[in-house]
Amino acid sequence: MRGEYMRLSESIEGMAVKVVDLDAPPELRERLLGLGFVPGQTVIIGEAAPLGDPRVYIVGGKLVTLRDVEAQKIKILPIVDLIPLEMAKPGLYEVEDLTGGHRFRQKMEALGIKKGTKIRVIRNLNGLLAVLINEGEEVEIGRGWARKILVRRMEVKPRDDKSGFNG
Amino acid sequence: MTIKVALMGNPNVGKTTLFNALTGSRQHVANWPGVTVEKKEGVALYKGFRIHVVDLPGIYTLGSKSLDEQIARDYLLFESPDVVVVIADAVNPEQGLYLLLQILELRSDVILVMNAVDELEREGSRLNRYELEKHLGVHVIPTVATKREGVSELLDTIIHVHQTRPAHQPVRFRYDQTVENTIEQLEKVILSKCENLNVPARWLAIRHIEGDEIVQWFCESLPPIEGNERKKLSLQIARSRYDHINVIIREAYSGKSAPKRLPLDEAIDHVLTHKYLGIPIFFTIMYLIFSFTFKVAQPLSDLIDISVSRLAEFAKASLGENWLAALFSDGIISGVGAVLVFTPNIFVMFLGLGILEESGYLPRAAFVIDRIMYALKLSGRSFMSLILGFGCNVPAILSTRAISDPRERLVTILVSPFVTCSARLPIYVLLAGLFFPQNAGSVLFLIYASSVFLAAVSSVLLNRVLFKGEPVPLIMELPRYRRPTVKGLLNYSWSKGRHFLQKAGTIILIASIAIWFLGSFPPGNVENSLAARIGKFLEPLFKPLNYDWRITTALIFGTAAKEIVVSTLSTFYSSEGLSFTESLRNSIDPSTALSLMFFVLAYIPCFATIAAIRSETQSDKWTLVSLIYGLVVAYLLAYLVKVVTGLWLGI
Repeated sequence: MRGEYMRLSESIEGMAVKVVDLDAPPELRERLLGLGFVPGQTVIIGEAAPLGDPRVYIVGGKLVTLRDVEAQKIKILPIVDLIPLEMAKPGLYEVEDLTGGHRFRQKMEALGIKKGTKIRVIRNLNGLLAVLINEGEEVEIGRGWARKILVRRMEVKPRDDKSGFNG
Repeated sequence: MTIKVALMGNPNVGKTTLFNALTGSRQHVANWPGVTVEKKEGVALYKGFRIHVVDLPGIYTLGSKSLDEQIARDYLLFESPDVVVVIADAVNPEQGLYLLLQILELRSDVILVMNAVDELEREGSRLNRYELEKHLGVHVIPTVATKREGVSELLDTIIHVHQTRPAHQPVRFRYDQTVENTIEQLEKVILSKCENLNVPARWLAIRHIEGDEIVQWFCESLPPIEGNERKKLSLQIARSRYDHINVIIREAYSGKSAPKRLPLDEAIDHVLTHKYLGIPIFFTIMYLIFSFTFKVAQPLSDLIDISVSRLAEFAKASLGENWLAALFSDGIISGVGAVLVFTPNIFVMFLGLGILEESGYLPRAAFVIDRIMYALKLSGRSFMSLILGFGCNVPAILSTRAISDPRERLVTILVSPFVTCSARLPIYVLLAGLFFPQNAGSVLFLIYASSVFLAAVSSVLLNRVLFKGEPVPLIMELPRYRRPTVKGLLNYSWSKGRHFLQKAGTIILIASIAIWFLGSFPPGNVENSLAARIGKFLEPLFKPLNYDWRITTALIFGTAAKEIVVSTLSTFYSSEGLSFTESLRNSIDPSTALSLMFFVLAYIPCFATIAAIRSETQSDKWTLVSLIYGLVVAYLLAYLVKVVTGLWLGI
């Protein structure tokens, strides 16, 4: 994997990444270090501004905004592509694991959820989800259950092209 | 006995709230010498001590070159405060402790304040202050600045640290062996080369590795470190600091889960920065602030207006018909009154801005609109100020205090006068209605569009000339949402707004007397007044624009307040027997009228605005730059408009 890093600006919303290196000139470097962008630090990618740039990054619990110009100077590696369904933003996911007990698995099986099931999240209101199971009917899943379902994001939407808006 | 205390910390950790809690109303706000960064000082009288507190700008590191960081660092190095208080956010302490570790390398008489412990407890976590004290070797005070909790303990500790220094030794923090080796070598060089150091050699060595040029000031000609090596070491140093901080947090916090956004915050953010809703919501909020500033405050402004004219009449009546009465009523009372009328607008504007800032929306607004402003080499933060300028340039310029980057603040202040304020509207309405009755609306739109265009072009231009075209970076933190407190809001608007009364008031007083004098001497017909003579004297200068002495004089009077242009024109033109509008229409042609509108758009806004520019930039140079730039642009633009429309209309 070494050398196959990405740029923070290329990461996708909801992803968790690890900072590998900073390419920034000394001045910007100090600033980024002070905000917590140090090698080894986990960063979660937050939402983009309405016009796609800048974006919010969650570093050590703080929300920090960076323009793509600056985020481009931070080398990263994606770390976890598994998240609890509770945290999933709308999109298509594949179930990787059910982390509950026997009863929980039974309940999930009754709903048609097992390893490999495709779940499309329609909306997520603080852990209360509306999902389509294998593109079927809309089902609501509460936070307690959603927390125990580990999923992997399947559709990796490329970021919107913003090249038409140049300074 | 006086104790000098410096307050330091990241932005948005409640530093200003704590400052207010410490000093109450005994505050003084000024700019740091030569720059557009606020300097806040205050005094706490406590147990027989005068505790002098300076609220330093919010920063993340001591090292980078931003002006805020330089100010904070230089204060620490050269103003030698007795005690340094570092404030960290108890909920997300990492970045705050990072700054603390940097400061501890420089000095040991530091107190750590962990603010907002109530929010931490609401999350179900606790922090053990003694564990923090053990690891960091400094006093730790948990506070809730908004409720004044822990404030008196902090004051006691400040006195205690000041009295017992240097009994308390900070824990010396060790880096990786490779880093330590380099530090050690550098320390040796520093100690052999430079004597009488008043800062620790170890600190200098670390700063030298991190590439801080301030090191030169203490010890010249240190061996240079190659760029890649420097980067490697800097990253290692930062990594070790954060590793250390993470260990401390694990030890000192209990029940703290992985940092997580508050669900309510996340939901609010989702709406306010929404892909489609974000911008409409932003404009709605802007509109509310705008109408708040100019509509809600209007009755109060009118009240002041009426009181002022009553007072002027009263002065006239009681002093009799002489020049002294005229000076008081027409000069001083009316002149200063014309500015006092803005007071309600300004305080209401700051109240609105205070709600946005204290709640945490302001940085979100900057975030939402940033892409557009980035094209103008500004950031989203200036947008708010510029929009306010459509009402009045004075609150717009004063509101730039919410812009943290000094470069951006300066550019915003300098381009603000091009945003056409409501006082210029009567002139446009008069001229557009008189000369372009069919297309008055389109002409008005053209003027407003040109205003936006001028401000945009000027900001790009100024940025290119002054700062070599570097855009202002937008690296900022979105703080947690907070409910603004009444006390906080009053404090905010008073501390930001009272300058308007103080500074603009004094300059306006002088200007009003001067304008009155020019308009009234020698006594008799206004056509023979000094102002009219100046107008006649300057007439040749305005010949290319086809402005006669009457227009020239009106423009001179207009520098007191733009509305006066209309009243002056009416005085001069109605004296020819015809009605004022008829005689004006007979005297000038449409292309001159249009060019006059553009001249009014761009030239010196008014004395109140100049006074605001002067007091906010603290610089005669920039005030002069703004004046001259405005005049030059006005003249060229007016000439261009005249030539183009002249050709077009076939005149």
